[in-house]
Amino acid sequence: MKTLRDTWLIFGRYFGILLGNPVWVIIGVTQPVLYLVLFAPLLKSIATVQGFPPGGAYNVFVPGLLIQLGLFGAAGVGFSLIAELRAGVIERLRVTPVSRISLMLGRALRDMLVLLIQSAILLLLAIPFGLQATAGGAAVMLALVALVGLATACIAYAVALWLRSEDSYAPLIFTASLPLLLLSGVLLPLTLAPDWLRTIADVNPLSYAVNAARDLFNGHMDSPEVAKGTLIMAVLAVGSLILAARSFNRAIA
Amino acid sequence: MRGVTRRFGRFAALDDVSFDVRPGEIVALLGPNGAGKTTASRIIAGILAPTSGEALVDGVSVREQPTRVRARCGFVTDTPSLYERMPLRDYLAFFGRLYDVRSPVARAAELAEQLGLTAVVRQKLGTFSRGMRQKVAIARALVHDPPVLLLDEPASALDPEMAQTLRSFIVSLRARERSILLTTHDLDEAQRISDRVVVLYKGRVLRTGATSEIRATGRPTFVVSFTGDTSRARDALRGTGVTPEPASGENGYSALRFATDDPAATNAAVLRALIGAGVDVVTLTAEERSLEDAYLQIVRGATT
Repeated sequence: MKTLRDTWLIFGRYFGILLGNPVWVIIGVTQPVLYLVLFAPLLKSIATVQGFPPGGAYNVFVPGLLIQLGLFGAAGVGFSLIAELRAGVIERLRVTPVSRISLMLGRALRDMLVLLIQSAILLLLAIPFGLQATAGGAAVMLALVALVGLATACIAYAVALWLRSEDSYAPLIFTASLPLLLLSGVLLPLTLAPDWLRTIADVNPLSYAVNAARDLFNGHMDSPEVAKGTLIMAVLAVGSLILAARSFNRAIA
Repeated sequence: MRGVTRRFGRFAALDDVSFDVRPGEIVALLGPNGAGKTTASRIIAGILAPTSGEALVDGVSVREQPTRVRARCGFVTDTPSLYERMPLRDYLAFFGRLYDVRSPVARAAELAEQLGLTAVVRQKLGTFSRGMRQKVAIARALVHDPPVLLLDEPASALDPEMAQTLRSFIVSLRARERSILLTTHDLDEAQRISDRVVVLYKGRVLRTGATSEIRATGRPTFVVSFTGDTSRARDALRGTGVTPEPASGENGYSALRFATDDPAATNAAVLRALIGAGVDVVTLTAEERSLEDAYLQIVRGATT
């Protein structure tokens, strides 16, 4: 009970910071919107190629774009943690009796909320382009993005606590994100990829999230891919949260 | 603290350290950089576990119940580390909620009043001066009315007037039976407000005792003031066994300082010698040593 209350307090604090400067929510969604407007039309011409998944260009691309948003949107959260560590703000929170996991989860939930707002904006913007989705599919999709965001944010926090320097954090976190992104079939479906690439992609948890997302948008909510992708991301999110909370306790001790 | 050792790898930041701070007492934790002062504070604050030994805060073990320990401590450092965009009242109320304070907004108003910040209670912290920010940090540390207060260089970088205000406030907390551990390099500040002193050096307790006892460390020194020429007085003291050093005399008198382990015998001999040589002695007084003098002597003694 105390952990829940503490988490709510920490979430409220960081949500307050967000409300004080909501422009970052819009800036964060700019890049996916540019992909939607400037890149997705290119896929229309190859949507008829053999091996391209069913559903049309936008129903294949937008789910991937949402997963990409979850990954890149949350990958940068470590910057604020490093800044707060340096300013002594984290130390001020650590001397309180607030649960350590709440200090991490409260922040991560704020990050998830930002991603959900951005994802909803992206979904609404994609509809005029030709995206087709049921309300249920979109809701599960948002939950999936939240799980991707939670897992990524927690890993990003653990890395930030380990490195404690923006100069090291930025290249490491974004260099690590790129192969994860490319091997998940976000930009182009892995059904078009050679066998060796698909074999490598099989060990990338993000590729299961992308597959689940595409099935959701094609109305296959009960497909095994949806269950598998959601379960993998849920396990990853919980594992990452535990890792981050432990790093949080250890790194500042 | 009872026999507390804290290691970081092979390095022992604290080595078998024991001391206590009683209710209504201000204890100054002194020592050069790297002596282990901050490590000791962090262990007592419940954010760092000792490698061995035990630290009890209000009877609660930092090893077994660190969360309860944190609820009993207020921690102030030289860096206020505030949320710049938050108004003062919201900030204190937020920390009040983190500490489960029953009426956090009322408590925020009460603390603001105690620290003379009522007029700026709705103002954002980013607009506050350095001194006001440090006051906020103290208010934050007191928001849950803790029995133990850990102050790490609380008045550093403050102007003398603001430092004096803060010192007065800290002393007023002693009257309210708080146990206060003051970590500082400002020995004048420590001398003014601390009841007892703990000197740490390379992770070990070098000396502990009442501030007055610590100041009396070493050979007592005396200053004799007189009229006339200093060289004549020096010549007169040759047979007394003291080694006179120049001292600054008041009201235009000349003065010499000397140290002795046996004031009863030596002072009488000094007076006899000076008067016998025709020197007009005005005063012979025991010199009050500063905590800084005593501290430097203790630390230098450890290095040689």
